Amino acid sequence: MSFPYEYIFKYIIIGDMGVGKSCLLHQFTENKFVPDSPHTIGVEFGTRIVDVNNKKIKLQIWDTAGQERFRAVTRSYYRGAAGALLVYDITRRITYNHLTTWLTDARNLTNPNTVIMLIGNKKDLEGQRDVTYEEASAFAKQNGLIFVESSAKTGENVEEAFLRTAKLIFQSVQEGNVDLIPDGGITKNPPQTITDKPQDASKCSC
Amino acid sequence: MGDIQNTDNIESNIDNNNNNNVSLESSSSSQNNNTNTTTTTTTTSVDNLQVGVLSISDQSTPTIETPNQQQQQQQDDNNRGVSNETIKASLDGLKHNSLKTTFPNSTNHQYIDVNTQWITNKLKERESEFTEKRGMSIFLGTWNVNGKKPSESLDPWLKDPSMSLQPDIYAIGFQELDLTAEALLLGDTTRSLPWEQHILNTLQGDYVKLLSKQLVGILLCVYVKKEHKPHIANVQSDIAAVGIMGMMGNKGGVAIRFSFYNTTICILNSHLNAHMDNVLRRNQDMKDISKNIKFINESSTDHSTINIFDHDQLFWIGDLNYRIPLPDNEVKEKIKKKDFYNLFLVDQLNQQMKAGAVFEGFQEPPISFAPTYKYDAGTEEYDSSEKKRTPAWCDRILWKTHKKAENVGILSYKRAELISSDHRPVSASFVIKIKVVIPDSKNRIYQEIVKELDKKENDSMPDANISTNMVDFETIKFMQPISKQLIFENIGQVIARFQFIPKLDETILCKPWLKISPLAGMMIPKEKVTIDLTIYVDNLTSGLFNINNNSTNSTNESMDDILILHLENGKDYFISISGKFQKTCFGNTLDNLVRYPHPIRNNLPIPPEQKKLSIPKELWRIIDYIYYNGLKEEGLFIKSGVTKEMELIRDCLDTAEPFSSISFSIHSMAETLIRFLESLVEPVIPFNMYQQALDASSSPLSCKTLVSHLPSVNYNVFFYLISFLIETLSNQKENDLKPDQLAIIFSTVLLRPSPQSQLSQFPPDATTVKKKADLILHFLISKDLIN
Repeated sequence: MSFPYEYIFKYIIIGDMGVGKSCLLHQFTENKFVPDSPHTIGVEFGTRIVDVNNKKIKLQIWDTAGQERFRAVTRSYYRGAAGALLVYDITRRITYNHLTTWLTDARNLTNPNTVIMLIGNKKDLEGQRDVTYEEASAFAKQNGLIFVESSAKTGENVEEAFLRTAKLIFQSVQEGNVDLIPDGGITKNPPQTITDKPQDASKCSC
Repeated sequence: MGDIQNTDNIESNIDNNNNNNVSLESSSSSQNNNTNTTTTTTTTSVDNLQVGVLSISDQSTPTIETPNQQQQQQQDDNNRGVSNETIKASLDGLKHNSLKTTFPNSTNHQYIDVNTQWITNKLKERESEFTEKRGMSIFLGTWNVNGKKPSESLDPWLKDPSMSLQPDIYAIGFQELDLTAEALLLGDTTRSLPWEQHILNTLQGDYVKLLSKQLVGILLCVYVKKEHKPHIANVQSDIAAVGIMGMMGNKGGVAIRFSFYNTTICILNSHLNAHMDNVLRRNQDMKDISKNIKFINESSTDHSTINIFDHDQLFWIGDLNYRIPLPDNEVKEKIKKKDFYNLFLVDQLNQQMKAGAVFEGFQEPPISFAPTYKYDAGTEEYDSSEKKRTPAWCDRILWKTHKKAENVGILSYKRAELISSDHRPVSASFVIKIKVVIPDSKNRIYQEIVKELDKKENDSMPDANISTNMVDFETIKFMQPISKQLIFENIGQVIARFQFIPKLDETILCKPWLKISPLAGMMIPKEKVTIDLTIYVDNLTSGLFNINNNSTNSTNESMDDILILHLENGKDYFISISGKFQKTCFGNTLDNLVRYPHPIRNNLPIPPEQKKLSIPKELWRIIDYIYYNGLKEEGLFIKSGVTKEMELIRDCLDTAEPFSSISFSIHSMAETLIRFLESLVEPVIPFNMYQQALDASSSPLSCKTLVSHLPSVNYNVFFYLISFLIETLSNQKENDLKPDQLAIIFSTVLLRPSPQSQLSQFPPDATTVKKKADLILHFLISKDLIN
């Protein structure tokens, strides 16, 4: 029996349809960009083990469907997330305008220590920019979010987004702000019940 | 940022390992103390001795010297009287120590970080992609000093004016540094300090000591140029004693290993058994030392060990003691003529190596110097004592390059004319192609490896493909099941287990009108499963769509649901279910139906001043039809209708189409009446009066009272229906109906327990059936009850 990581952090990626949530996930976990990838109908997830302060941490990332009609269902996946990546598309203002509703959901459905990171995706499409960096940056500041602009296509800042979030969560863990509970999205490995897969644990509690 | 960070960690891991190394060594020495104390069965004094001996092996822990010195005092008094038994015990102690050092945690179960190990191995495999080779030189020197203290300059030995550059590494070995009993028994290291100081003075300020290690008279010191110090890691040492009792034999070997940039180097200094005849003994010594010296495998997390051969470059130096088996005068003659070639041909070591009996795979630079043993100390004369030992090349320098590494280049192999000992010192210089890491390339390859691992891990999660996420059932009619199929296919590489799961804060998987089959299952890779979705709106669920205040002006009520199909350890699939329920008077409520002046599928809004109808018009139409067309029909209400015809009748009722537009048997209409009453969400005699009704059934008057308390619409319906049934019975001659028959049929639909009540869980017993029938029967036979 081996435990190649010490913690598991659960992330959720949320935001409007077509902002590139799945592409961010694939870029981060597989270094792969699939243009015109199909819309996520449901919830996908990927994992990657990262090093934070010399600790190996398994990020378990839940990528949710962005469609409005699934909103009620995807909400059930927020529970227990240690990190939330709130994504909009810098070339479509409408996706930026919806951030408030996404943020409200995230705040209401996760715990107060959940680290929320704002990501303006599609940074590579500078010519079609519809939301300035300054504006989004101010929004992030007002709402106490960390903010980065990224490109799932080129990979720019994708690592940074995921790792910065992990660092902040880890910091939170070290400062003792976060309880290590299986449903809390932060699990110490090996947990008491190794067979109890975190995603299933969160399901059972639904 | 991430890239750099990751590699930082790798390097700091290595640093950590170094630290671990240090701590392991120190902890193992203390552990050894304990081990020896507990396992030794000899006397207390021997026990103490062993502790003292232990400290020899680790000069880096001078704190142990205090007990040493105490014991030394003790021992000095009678060191001449040391018994063989004591020596044996202490040598056993040495061996034990060496063994323990190499297996620090073999008894403890530890978890193995296989992931890191895998990454490390992969990185090692691709080493050539991120390292460049740089030539570096190593100087190796060996000298049997015959117990002498430093007295002459070491320059002729350690400094080579012919070399343009200073060596990057110095490895200097001594034998017979200390021939005193204290050295053997007490780990007295005082003799080594002057020599080390002497070397450092010779090398001047450009070098730092990496490590020195001593086993009795055998000392090995490694120095590196200051600039290289940061690029050295995993410095470890080990010792192995050999030799037989009966002499103050301090034979054995001392080894130091380290990583120099990305190249691993091991240097072993040994003193093998002496005398012309002991060839096989020497061969065995070499093998024993090779086998017994072990290091902790730093590139692995499982505390496995490596041996001297697991290095890119292995150098073996020392007084190997192999001789030249020729008559003394013949040897001396050839030496005079510098006929080293013919001497070398018979040299024992050369012979043994050629025969594959010892130092397998080792090489030696060509010897072009005179035998280094045995001189009269302080002179340039070979042994003139009565023993007249034949000159020999006892002092040698060999190397072995790992098959995966690049061979060394020989720069020199020679002896130096230092005369204080009976041996002459020997030295060799080599150039080694050192692998130096290119940090950027290493980062890149590390990233590639980790990404590959992550990808594989993600690939090993189950994956499946679903034929569609949107299932539209279009128009759903009351009591008409519609099925649709989904194909779920395992497109992953592992077994996929799936199940439908409820949504947040819900306990049910789907709406009550939807049936899913199967609810869970398993697929091997490439296997497909058909999932049946069936919508069926019956009496129990139709109320959800028929009675909806907001949608009085729409003919169809939309039916929506989202299913979550969960793949164990994998993703979740959302499946949207949609359909339009065609509103109908069936599965409705009396209260709702009397609000509609027009057919239920008519889109018209209900006029605000619309008075409620006294009975549902649909009921009126059915009864009216039977009244005019079927009262005399034999078997009315007894014979079954035709399902298809009943569906057509239902459509007519819902759309106000005249019955004349369709054709059907009167029995279909009669059954429609029964089905209509049966489908009412709440029966004519409401659920809350069910028990009262049963209780009242024995008395006609109680029944009358009960009915008089019905809500007005229900009362109207009851009154109208009973009147109609009485009328029906008045045609008994033709239709052959009996009151009790009708009572049983209609009591079943007019009087039902609530579906939520436990009573509805089981078929009613005979008594209940009789009670229900009796209630209706009273009205059918006593006409005045209903007025």
